Amino acid sequence: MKSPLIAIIDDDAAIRAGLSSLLRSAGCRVRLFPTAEAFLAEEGAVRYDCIITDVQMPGISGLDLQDQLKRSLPALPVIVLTAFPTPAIRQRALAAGAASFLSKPFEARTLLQAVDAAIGDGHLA
Amino acid sequence: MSALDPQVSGSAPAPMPSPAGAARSPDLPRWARSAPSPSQKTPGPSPWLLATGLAIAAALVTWPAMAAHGVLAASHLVALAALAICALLLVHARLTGERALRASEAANQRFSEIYDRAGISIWREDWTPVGRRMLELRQSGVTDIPGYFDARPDEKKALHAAVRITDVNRFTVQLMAAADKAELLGSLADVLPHSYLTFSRWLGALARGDDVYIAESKVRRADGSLVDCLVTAALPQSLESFADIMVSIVEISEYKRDQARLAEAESEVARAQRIATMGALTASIAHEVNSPLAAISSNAAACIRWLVRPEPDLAEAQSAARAVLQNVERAQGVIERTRAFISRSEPRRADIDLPALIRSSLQILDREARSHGCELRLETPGEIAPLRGDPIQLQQVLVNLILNGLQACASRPEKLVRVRTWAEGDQVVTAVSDTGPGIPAEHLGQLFQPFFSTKPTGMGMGLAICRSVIEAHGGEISVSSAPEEGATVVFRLPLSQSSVL
Repeated sequence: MKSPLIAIIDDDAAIRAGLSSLLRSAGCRVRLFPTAEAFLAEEGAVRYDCIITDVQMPGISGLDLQDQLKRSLPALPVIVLTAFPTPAIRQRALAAGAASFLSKPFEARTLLQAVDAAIGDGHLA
Repeated sequence: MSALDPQVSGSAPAPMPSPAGAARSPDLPRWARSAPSPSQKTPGPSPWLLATGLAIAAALVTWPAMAAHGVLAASHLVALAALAICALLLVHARLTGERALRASEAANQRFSEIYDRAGISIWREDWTPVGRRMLELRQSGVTDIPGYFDARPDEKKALHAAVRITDVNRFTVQLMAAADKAELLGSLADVLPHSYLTFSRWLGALARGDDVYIAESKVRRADGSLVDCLVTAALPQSLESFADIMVSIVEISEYKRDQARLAEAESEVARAQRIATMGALTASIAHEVNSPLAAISSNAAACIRWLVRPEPDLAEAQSAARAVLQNVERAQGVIERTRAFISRSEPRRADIDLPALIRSSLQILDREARSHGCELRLETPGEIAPLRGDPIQLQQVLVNLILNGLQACASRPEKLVRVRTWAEGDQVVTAVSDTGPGIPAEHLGQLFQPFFSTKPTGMGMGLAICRSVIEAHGGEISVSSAPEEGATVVFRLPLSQSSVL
């Protein structure tokens, strides 16, 4: 099977790099974006098997991005990450249909399981 | 006495100066220029009266400097009164010494009353050996007299011991908790051993020909307790008047205690404000710590996975491991900055690189700014000379001002906080400007008042603390703003300064 393609959207370069290495070590392909705008500017969001996005970012927030994608690509799984998980943010993310909601720092295994569940692969973790 | 002090007993290496010779040296203090030979009679009292007037005038001029050193205004008044009384007593001493016949009974009576009933401690001291020795040294070419004695502690001790207390007033006996006056007469070294600590300052003041001596000192009472005192004296303007220097001592122990308590309370409020500031930044700090932790956990897990693959990818594993270390450092940096910022620490003085301090303040607020979509900009010339101050207090000022700017911009289309710093003469100027809605003119005057806040949850202490910190550093702070054009807070700090924290 073709290896899954995952978009990582986070304004923190260290997080992007860490997630990238982890997902690649699990056999995924990744593309990295520092902002939601950068991701939206790229044609072909449809190519991705899963989106992992941070919440607090300059410009469009992760939650707003999630809302936009829900309208345009309702089937695309979105995993939401945040370093400051308030109940309000968690509720909004899950209500908008987030595949998973993880707070930073997260366990690598949990993240891989979340990606697994989102793309229905079952082999990553 | 003379065994302790051969110089004083007369075996001086240098010859005694002739008055004419001394008068030709313009760098000599007045008392040395007009110094008579020991056998000579002094001229009339008129130049001396002038000198006393000058002493009081000088004391008045000295006041602002004393205020800068944190001496309470009330103490000033007492010290001024003390000095005035001293001057009066000196006038009297001259009158009784030289015109005893013409002095009236009434004046004598009045003198005794002032001397003994004054609510301040007055000491009459004979500094003649000091005057003679200093004159000898000047004649033999010694210019740095305190330095000369600091290099010769034995001679300095002997000279200190040669100063004699010849009389004290009744209040002094009370202040010193002494049984009677006799206990307090004799060598300065025996009666006031602590005065040795300030002896160099006396020598310096005398060598410069200062009109007055004012300093804080400690005095040990008969019961062994130490008393904080303000010591004031009109210094002699002729060699002869070294024989009767009047020193007044005002107790300031309570004032010193109040001052210490006030400083402690101020530092506690400032710390509470720093903690409140950090509380407002909780989300930012959580982000700042949790992000590197997330990067650490991802990279560590990835590293293992790269290694345990059937064909280990060592390059990937190495780069993941390196990323772990970098992020550990990053998390430590955040925690250290935060801990330093809210730590309970005594005010201290260090050389401060202001641009570096601004950069680290911007770092504390970087995440907060980014989450508001606000740009932080630092504009500084390459080098600014270091200034002396308390780094945490000054950082508190910077963080407060920048955070205020950030909050002011929050609802504006253009979000920018600019921090500019530059040297201007002997000052360094720092300006923090925002693109917020500006400050209404009616609020401008109250901004630095404690408990004044325009924020619904504001404590109203931020800017008040900024002002007190800047002023404690010998600087000043001001704000300017025009409606719809943002606000600019400017503070100026002296580049090299000896101000007291």
